[in-house]
Amino acid sequence: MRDKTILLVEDNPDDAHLTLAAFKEAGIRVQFVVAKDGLEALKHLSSAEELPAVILLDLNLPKLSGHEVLERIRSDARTKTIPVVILSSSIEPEDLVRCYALGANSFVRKPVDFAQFLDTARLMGRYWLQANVAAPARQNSP
Amino acid sequence: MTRFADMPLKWKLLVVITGTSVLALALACAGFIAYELAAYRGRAGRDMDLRAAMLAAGGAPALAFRDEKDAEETLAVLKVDPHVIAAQFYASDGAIFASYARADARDEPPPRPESDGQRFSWDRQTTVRGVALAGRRIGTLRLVRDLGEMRRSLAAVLAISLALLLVSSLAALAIAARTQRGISEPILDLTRAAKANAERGDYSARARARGGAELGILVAAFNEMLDQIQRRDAALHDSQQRLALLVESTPLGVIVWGTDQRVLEWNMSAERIFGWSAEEAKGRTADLIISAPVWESRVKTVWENLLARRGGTRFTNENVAKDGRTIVCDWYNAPLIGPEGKVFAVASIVEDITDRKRVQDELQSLTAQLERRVTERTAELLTLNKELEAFSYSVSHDLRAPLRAINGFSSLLLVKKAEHLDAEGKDYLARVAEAARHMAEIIDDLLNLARVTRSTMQPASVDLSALARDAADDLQALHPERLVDVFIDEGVRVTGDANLLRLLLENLLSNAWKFTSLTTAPRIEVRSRVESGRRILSVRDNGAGFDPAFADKLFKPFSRLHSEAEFAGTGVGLATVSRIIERHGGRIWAEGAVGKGAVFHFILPES
Repeated sequence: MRDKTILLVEDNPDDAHLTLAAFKEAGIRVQFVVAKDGLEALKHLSSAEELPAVILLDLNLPKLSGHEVLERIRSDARTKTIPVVILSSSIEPEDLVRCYALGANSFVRKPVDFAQFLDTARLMGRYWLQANVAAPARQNSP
Repeated sequence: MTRFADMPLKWKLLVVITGTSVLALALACAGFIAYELAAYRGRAGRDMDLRAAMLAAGGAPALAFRDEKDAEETLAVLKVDPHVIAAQFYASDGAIFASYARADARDEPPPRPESDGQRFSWDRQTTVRGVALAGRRIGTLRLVRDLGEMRRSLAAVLAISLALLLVSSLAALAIAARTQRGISEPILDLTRAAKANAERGDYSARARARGGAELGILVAAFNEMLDQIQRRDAALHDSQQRLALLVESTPLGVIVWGTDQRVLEWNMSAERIFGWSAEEAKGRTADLIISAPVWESRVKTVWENLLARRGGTRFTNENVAKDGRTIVCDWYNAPLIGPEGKVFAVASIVEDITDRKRVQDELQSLTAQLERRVTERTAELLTLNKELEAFSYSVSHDLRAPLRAINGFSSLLLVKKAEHLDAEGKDYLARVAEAARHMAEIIDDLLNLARVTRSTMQPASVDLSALARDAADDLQALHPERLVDVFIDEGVRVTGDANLLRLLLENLLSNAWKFTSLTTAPRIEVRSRVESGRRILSVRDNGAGFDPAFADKLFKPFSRLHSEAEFAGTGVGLATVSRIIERHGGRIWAEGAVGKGAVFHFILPES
């Protein structure tokens, strides 16, 4: 069986790298497609043969903002049922409320602590990909 | 000659009293004399009749016998009576038959006898009587007697009467002179007093009081009236002086106008305001001194209203001063009404409000300027606030991203490339990762603090107990290995912003949670009590506590009383707590001692 695909929309290469590393370290087998901005993401979604199982969407993006991308995804019949998890640095309540209003399935704040990043990846893997991963152990930061 | 009405009272009384008594006496005397005269005449008539009868009887035979000698002898008897002047017997033919005449007599007997009867003339009495014998008239007797005796007696009566009249007149005069004093003197006294008061106008002269009769009462009443007048005069004088002082010393101009608009009164302040002295202003009309033609119609209307008593009592107007300055004045006018209800003058009180008006105008323009500036500043502040928000947003995003990279890649290095690092290298790398994590925490706390300050408050009734329980549950979930006894008073409701109060309890409870981490049998209490009418809420722990000397530093951002090694933290949490209380208009204070735990009390105002 082929690994499931995650579309990661992230303009920051460091963050993209760390997200991939976190999933890999957490032992979740998954295919990543990385789009560096909103337009690229929408282009991928419209052209891809196989739709991603989950979309991880940053909010602060060049060209099209994360909110706009989310809006487009939800207005397109083909993509409207794909779970979208917002991955953002924002702690603004307005952002959170707006994303849920636009149809986001979850809002995850990008943790600075890599250990928490691992926990987040495990949770997402179990919940959104039904991946057979161990429950995230509470890890105190070193 | 003085008319009776113009005579002094004293003379009037003398004339009346004396005149009355003299007239009465004179009338009495005249009556007496008239009676005396009539009585004498009666007596003399009877006497002469008797004498004539006797003579006629004596002479009748001589007449009958035509004996002239006997007839003359009969008449000669009359010599003994000195009062008889002459006597004649007329014969029956009417010629004188016999006659007698006293030596000094001047009697011209008429040639024929007069008719019978008595006749009186000024100095003599003539009796004519018929002589009869045996019932037949044979002649006529004429007897003349002089009235000297009667005149003498009458003169004596007259003299006595006159003397009596004189004496009694003098007596009446004396009595009148004495009695009139009792009547006229009090009146004269009253007159003198009234005259003195009227002339001097001081109302101090008094009439002398006399007895209790009408005049005494009149004098007493007059004096009482004078007392009242004097008192009223004094009071009037007093009040006039006060009024004059007031009018002269008031900073308000006081002007009285005649109904022809001419100035009657003009006080010192009016001089000061308008520059015209009272001498210059009096007698002139307003349009000549303080009004300009432009305001003529307005002044006219006000004036007409005043005279018609239709108001116009208060208005603000521009006037001119003597030096040509235009000044702004507040006028308060009132018509002065005479006893017949007619306006006889108009009183004005005037205040120069030029300076006040200028200040007011300046103030208004300054206020407008200030308002403009406030609007500008507000706009600037709004812009700044937007910029600040944008800045916070970029801080939360852009500053966290590199930290995430530092922590993330350090962690990856530790996990994946561990074999290339010795223990020291691993330690360094762990410190780098921890530093980045800690910095991210500080940024989060700072952003929270900023949000507390600028977020909009939405006050509502909030279940504080529930918020505290949620916060405690979160802490327990985050640290499932810890065993902490948490006591929370049930049903504590306050008024405030739910989000901010949640943040408040999260901070206070996580604080307590953190500082009890080294305590055996840790215990946290959230309590509510009422003290002197105010509800005091407190969060108490039995943790590390603090040195009370530094209590004032607790609520300052980044001030920490414990080392990072003992208790990790950013030093922003309590500053956030303090800011939330501040925004609610409440108060917070802390008690504690090192090793004895800490308690945070706070008061939220009842909405």
